[in-house]
Amino acid sequence: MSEVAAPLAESDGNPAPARSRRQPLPGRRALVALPVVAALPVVIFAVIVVVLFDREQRRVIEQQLVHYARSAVQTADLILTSRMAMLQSLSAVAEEGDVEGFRRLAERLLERQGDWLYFSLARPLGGEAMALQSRPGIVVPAAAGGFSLPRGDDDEYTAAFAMVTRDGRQVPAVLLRKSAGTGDEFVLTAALDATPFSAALVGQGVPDQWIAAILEPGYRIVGRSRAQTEFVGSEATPSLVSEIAATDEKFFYSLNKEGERVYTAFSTSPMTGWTAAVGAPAGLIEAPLRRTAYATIGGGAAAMVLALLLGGILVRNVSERHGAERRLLELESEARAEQRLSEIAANFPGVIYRRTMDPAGNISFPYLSAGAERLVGPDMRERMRGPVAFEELLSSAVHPEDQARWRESLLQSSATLQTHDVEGRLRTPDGGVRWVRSTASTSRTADGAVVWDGVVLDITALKEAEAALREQTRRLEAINRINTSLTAELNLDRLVQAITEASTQLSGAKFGAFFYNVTAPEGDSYALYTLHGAPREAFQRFPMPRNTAVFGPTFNGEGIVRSDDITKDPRYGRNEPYRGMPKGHLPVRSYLAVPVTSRSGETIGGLFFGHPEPGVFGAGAEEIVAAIAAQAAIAVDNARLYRQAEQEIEARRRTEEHQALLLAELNHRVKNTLAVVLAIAQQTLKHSPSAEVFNAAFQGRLQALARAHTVLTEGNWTTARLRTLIDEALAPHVAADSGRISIAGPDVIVPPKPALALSLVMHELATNALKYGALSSAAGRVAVSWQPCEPESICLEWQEEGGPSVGTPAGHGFGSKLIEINVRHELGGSIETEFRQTGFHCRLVLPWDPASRQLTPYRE
Amino acid sequence: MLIVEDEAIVAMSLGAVVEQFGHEVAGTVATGRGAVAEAARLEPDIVLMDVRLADSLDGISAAERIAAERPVHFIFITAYSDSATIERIRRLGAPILSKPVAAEALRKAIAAARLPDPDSGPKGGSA
Repeated sequence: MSEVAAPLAESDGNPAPARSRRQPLPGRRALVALPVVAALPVVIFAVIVVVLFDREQRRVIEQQLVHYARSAVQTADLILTSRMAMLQSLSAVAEEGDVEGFRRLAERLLERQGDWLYFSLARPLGGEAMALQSRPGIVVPAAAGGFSLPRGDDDEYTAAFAMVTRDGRQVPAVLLRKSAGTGDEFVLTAALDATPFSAALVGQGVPDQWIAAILEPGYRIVGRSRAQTEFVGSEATPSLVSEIAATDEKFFYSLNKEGERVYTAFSTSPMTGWTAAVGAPAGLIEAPLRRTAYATIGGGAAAMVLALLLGGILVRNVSERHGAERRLLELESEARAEQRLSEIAANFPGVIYRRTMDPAGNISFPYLSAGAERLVGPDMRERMRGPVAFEELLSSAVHPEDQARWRESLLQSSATLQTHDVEGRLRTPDGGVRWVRSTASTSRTADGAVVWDGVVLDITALKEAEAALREQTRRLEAINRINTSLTAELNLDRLVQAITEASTQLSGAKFGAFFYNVTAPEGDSYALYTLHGAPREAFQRFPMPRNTAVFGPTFNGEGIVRSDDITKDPRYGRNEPYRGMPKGHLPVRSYLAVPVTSRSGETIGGLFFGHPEPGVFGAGAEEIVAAIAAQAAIAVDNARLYRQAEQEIEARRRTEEHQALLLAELNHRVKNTLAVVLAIAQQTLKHSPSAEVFNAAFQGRLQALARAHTVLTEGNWTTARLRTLIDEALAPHVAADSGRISIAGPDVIVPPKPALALSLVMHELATNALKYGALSSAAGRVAVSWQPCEPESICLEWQEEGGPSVGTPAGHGFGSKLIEINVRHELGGSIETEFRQTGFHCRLVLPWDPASRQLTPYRE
Repeated sequence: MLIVEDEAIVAMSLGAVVEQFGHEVAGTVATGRGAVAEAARLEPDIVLMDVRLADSLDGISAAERIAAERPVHFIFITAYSDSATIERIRRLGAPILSKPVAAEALRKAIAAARLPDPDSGPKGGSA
């Protein structure tokens, strides 16, 4: 979508050019900035050159000024030292006291050296004071500020500036004074015209515009290269004075006496303390610098302006060329967009159209894309170009069921000019229909025609998908509903019936059956379990289905078999004896069979469906039945498990009841046994003359009971054999293999309670025989035998012989009583005893059931 | 006094104990039906009754039949201790002695049975 949208956006020719006109291209600024940037280093270089040139000029000026100052001060020193030397000579003459010689020499100096104005000698040594002057009228002030000059002895020289009156006017002069001796006994004073100092400065070669001056240590100007009259004798400027006071030599910037800005250098003589200062007017010095700077900066600025002009020209040229290119691109883009739109319209999967309806209701399509031909065919497309009557077009192009909806949508949109949006079916050239959706914006022209610009989209696939989805949803809902009911059903019979009914109905079958696997003794066979859609009688006449070629895959769990016509299936009719459906079988053409397989892999059975018409079962029916079969397998498993669980629970309940009964019986039996033991103990004790006798008798009877219990336990307390009971009862008294005991009789079964009584009876008989009867002697023997006798009785004989002769006892002991009550009460029998010459004889008659061979003490 | 007990030796021992206490033992039977018959014949004032007997008629049912004919004091001597059996005996109003029964307990039960019945009730061990 984006790949298409982008070129379309370009092709409309609106947004991009508008942006270009409103906003300068970034390259335009770059083109202007380029020459400026190129010229900027030149300008910077020029500035640097000017600055360096200025510095160099100042350095040269400084060197020249200092040079001139040094030269000037040296000249002043030379003048001073030469004059001091003269004065030294004059002083030497005076000190020698040669006054006349002093006079002659002074006069000669005044005469020959025009700059000497005056000499005076005060307090001469041994002479008179005198004063000589170069001409009359020279008045020397009495005192002037003094200053010291270097001297090699104790003499003192002073030099000071003073204004001397000559010829009635003041002239600058230097007063030199020399004194000697203690207390100034000798004082020589000379006045020197200052004019030579100014003349010397003029001769230094100082440029005319420069100013040089010589200052005495008191900072008065002694000589000056210009305006001597005005400034000689005046004090130097305060700025110069402060600088001289601070250092001997310096270059600095200040104002001169005329108030002019000057570059000044001075140098102070270390010998005389006089200073020469030279000043160069700043305007004079800076003029060439300014010219250079102006020239350089002006050149740079001119270069910059020129660069800007060039940049502007370049920008204009580039902009014009860019505009031309852009217009060319726009034209090309519009052409491509138009071409692309044409291609899109041609390849559009639907139809792009412009439809008009004139006020008379005639429809025409001024534009119909190529898709219309694919949708409705070339003839209809040509017909639609119109004009054609609205209803005629509607009836010929639109499916009858959708014409009303289509008409309503068009008329409504034509009336309201709202969007036309309708879904419906269009007829196709091959007689079919295609689902379409038509969407268009609506407008009205000046002549009253309604115009729709829109598209028709083929939504047949979407509609089919929706229908399939609805069908799928319906199936899933049905399956879910059925599964829910199947899951809730735990009764196996009802469950399989419900499975059969639901799957038959949902598959669309005429009838269905759920065959449940049963293994018959004769081999594989299957029981008809449930049916739906057909009476049970319809199948009862036929044998169970077998593992034939058609049924086998289902019963073996191999997979689903679905056939539009099973009679044409290659597997059909291959098995004897019917080779197809037996006569009278319900007609089956459409066939569907789905195995029902348990989670364990066991094939539970198969769901079979039939329909007399061919092609009934589609993939949907197969899907439904397969889903039901899967859930049915689970439900059958669950039902089976439920049934099994019910059986197990019932078995467990019966077991628990049985255990409870057993426990109760055990409790009862133990208590009863204890009661019996207690009774035996009480009665034995009652009839025992001593503890030893009681002990022996009681132990014997308890052991007899214990052995009987053992025999009964081995028989699970159900029955015991009479022979076993007698063997066990006699064993403690005589060995079975001793030959003294013979036991014989048929198999007789004795219940538990009579068994205990019979054991006690046998024990008492044996005890008596051991104490008093046959077993009391080595030769004695006992024969125990029994036989059925009388109606339903067993006669048990106890016959002793070979023992001591016995007679009828005078009384009966507890043993005899125990025998009697056990026989009568416990065994329900009778007892006869006889004391014969040969030995004791006892006969028991015990109720007996010949059928069960069991003693029956009490008969109901 | 009638002793109804299917264990002969126990019946004999009970008889000896009862006689030792100064009572007369009119008879001893081991079955339910025998008890009903002997009670009708001997008309005992007290019946020492076991629950399980040698025939199919148990002691409680036999006692019910006997009591239906005439007032008799029953003293049950049984090895059963389940609630259903106990409840059946309780409904007869008879005392219950558990096997093996102690002689003193038996004496007290007999003594209690011989006390005058304020309500002159026909049956029940409380008399």
